[in-house]
Amino acid sequence: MTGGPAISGRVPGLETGGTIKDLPRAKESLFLNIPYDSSFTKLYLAYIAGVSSVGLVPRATLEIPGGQRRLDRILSLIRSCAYSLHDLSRVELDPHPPKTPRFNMPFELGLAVSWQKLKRPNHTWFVFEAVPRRAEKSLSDISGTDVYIHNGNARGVFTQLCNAFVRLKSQPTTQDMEQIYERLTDLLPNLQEQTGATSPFEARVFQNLVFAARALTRRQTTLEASPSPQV
Amino acid sequence: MAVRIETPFPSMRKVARTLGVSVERVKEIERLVEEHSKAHGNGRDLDRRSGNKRESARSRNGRHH
Repeated sequence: MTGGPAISGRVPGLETGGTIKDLPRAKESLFLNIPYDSSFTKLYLAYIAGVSSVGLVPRATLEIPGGQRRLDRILSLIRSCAYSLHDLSRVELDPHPPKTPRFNMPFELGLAVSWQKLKRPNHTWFVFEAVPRRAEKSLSDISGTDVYIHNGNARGVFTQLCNAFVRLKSQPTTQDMEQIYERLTDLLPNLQEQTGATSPFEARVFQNLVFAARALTRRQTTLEASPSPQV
Repeated sequence: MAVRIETPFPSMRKVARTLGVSVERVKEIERLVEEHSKAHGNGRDLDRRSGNKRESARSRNGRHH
């Protein structure tokens, strides 16, 4: 969108008086916009495994320590990433009283779209969902956008990540992603214990998972490159 | 439309820098992954295990026939 409105400096309304600490923009970083709740743990691990498999570094708001306003943290992360992935599959009402829908994921998608339309045309955003045609109903403003349907399971996430990202050299398969996912699932208790965290949705656990996924990806690609052992 | 990724896989050092954590911590995670892989076999072993599962499923089907 190179012919977009000429905006120099700050985008009005997107910054709060320059208080956002700018993170370096990395072309291999992907902002992962997903719900943080225990029922989403499998898909959380699947996204970390799959995104790492295609050679990107997942980033999430939970990794940044408190102190900054949450909205500022989100904006800072979106700005620092070349890609963002927005999972809109949690549209049901939160059962805890008062029953409320979750607006965070679509709101953050809106921020990413604004960022791309107004400021950074080469920022690429993706919408993932569990149920076909539901996103078009719950958020009709995105009509005409490809929505990647993962059917609410890890394998679906891998398939859709392979559809969304094509690595020109060494494209991972869904089986490669699944292996990393299985290993991450096995490692999660250790990674959690190492940090004393009670939930996988804590900053240090998330970072440990990202490192572990990267180490596993490297191991996998090294094994692929080496000759098969004689059995 | 799929995005084509042409950047190389980021190194562990780069990932550490991106996430703003120490290289020592990365090494610690690498050690953990290494230990886990030794204890549970490497990727090829995983392949072989799933292959065996497929094989035994075929065998079971064979017996049914």
